[in-house]
Amino acid sequence: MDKKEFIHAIDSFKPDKSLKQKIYNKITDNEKQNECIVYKEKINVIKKPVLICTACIIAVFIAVSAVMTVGGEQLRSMFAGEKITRDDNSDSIIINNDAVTDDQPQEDGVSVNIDSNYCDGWHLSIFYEVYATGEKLSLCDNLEGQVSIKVNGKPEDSKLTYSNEFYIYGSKPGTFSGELQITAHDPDVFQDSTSIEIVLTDFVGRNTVNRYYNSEKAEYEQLVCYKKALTASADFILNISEDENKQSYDVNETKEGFCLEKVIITPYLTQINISGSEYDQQKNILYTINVSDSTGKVLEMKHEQSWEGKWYDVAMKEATSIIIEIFRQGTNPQDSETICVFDVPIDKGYNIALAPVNSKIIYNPPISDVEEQISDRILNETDFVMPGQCSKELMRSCTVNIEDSCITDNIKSAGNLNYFITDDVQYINADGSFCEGFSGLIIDVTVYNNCLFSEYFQPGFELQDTLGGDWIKPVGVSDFDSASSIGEVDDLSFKVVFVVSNDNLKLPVMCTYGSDDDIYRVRVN
Amino acid sequence: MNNALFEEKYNLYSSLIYKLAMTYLGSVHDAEDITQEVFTKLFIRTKEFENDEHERYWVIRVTVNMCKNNLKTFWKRYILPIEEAADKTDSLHNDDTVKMLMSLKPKYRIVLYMFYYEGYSIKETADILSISESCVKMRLKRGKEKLKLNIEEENYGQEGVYSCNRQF
Repeated sequence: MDKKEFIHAIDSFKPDKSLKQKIYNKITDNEKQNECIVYKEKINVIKKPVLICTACIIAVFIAVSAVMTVGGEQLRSMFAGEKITRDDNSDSIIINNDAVTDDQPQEDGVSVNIDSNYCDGWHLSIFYEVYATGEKLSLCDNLEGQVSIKVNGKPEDSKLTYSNEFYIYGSKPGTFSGELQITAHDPDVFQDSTSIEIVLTDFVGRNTVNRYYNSEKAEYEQLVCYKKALTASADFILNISEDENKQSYDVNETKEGFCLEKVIITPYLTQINISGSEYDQQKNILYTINVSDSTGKVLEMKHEQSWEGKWYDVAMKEATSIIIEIFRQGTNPQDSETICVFDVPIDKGYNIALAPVNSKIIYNPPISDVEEQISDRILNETDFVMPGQCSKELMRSCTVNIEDSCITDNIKSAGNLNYFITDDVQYINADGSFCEGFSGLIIDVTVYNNCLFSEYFQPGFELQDTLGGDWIKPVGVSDFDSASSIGEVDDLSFKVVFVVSNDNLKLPVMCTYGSDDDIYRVRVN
Repeated sequence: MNNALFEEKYNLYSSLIYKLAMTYLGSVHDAEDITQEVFTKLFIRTKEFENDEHERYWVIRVTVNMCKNNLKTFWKRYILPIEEAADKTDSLHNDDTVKMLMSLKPKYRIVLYMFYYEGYSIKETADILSISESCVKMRLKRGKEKLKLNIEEENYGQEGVYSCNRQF
């Protein structure tokens, strides 16, 4: 393909003429159908001079419970006529839902679509989509909820931990989806008959939030939806069969200080265990990993910023080997340098069509609407301005405190940090000191629980040197894995370090995290 | 709604959003959905943009984010084998060059599109996509390798200038 062909290929993407009318209709319909909006108010707040928090969102809380149960004898009865072939030595099983007890979706409720599940005996993944079928909730462009689970009737404990990862915020109105990762620390947890209960609560259906800031005041405007209480449950059936496709390769090969210990390939994930640090503090070198298969396909890391416990999307069908390349990441292309390459032969690739099987809708029958306006929960000035605090518990999905901040001349004073890939690394010398004219701003942050972090949580934690100025990405953050957690998590405390110009030390700076709309901001002097 | 404003914005952004979404998602249906959603967000947004460029950035950023979200749904990530993706769109993809483009991972496609088609610089592309400049460079390099584009090496360090059909 040459340049002309490339341009031609892109140029061939032309919207249909009918699209214009569709868009026009959608916008006008949206204006008409803003029945969802029950409150719209502009709030003007004079900021206090020290730590000022402006936040946004929260409208109406909608409680929805979707209980999905697969249990003991019930499971066996559901599988009448089918063989469950998980023997004691098997550590790999596939679970697919291919039967649904509920028949037809009704008009007004919430549906949970279980897309697929995978269990290797220790880890259980459940992919799901929740969407509102009600007239009003289904129009909300941001629908989200909290998720908790019970396995065999028990909540998270020493034998069981889980995380929940949300994928969709408002891609389509009235929906969100997520992935539950449940990890057992005891082989008895996942039995042939495993009861799983997923409880979805605190649904928030919200629409556009607008904010405006300057150095003197914050204006806040929000459009909110309804509060609707739904309680419902649905059972679904999982087929369990032995998965013979899992492959585990013990490599234990060391090159240039990096040891490739193991490669595990399942129909869903490729896991690579490598020992070694992604950042060499002494040499101030950042390493990056690239994984591809023998067909040339590059495997995309599921958790892109994680160096430890690397899991990749599987893209192998015809592959005969998996290639792991570690290279030095430079700020300029000429600085990039391959450090070592591991080439691991594998027996066969996988047919990724294994993953989706008979996706079914789990329908939660409706209850009568109890839509409520939330005029008593509308933000007021007290809620809005809290020194050092972004939000008030009831009004936000999470609360952020900037506990402390300081300027440092050596990044090592922040303790152990896991570093981002950022061009600002060039302002740090090998001994951790900052180049002339620059310093480090260390912020101690605590994020309190009940948070539903957006997927952009960590990358969005940025600093703005002046209002309207450039966004600066942090050069380091402690507790990297924790800070990048998604879903319900415990309280998080971590440090974030930015490189700042010495000229700007006395200027107010703003930190922001969230999605592209910069949900929360905290001023740090 | 102000019809004149709608006309203006549609003429300004519809092609951009649609091409971007098509490049990212490879689906006419999804691209149309995304285009509608982005326009809806644009018209319900009351906060004013600082300038035209800010608005354009916002539109691209929102489009990219929505495309990312779209791809992150389970069935997008797991169901469609890449080589089948092109076949599942429409007749456009009967074009071999489009098929070849669609055989790339979205992350490569979008970087190639931003850099070569829209004419954004490395830095601008990195800012819009929220990835590092070195990541943009790497994806450009790999994307080109996979496409076997007959492109002379760009001077990556040079700031780009807005110009459609960047000189390859």
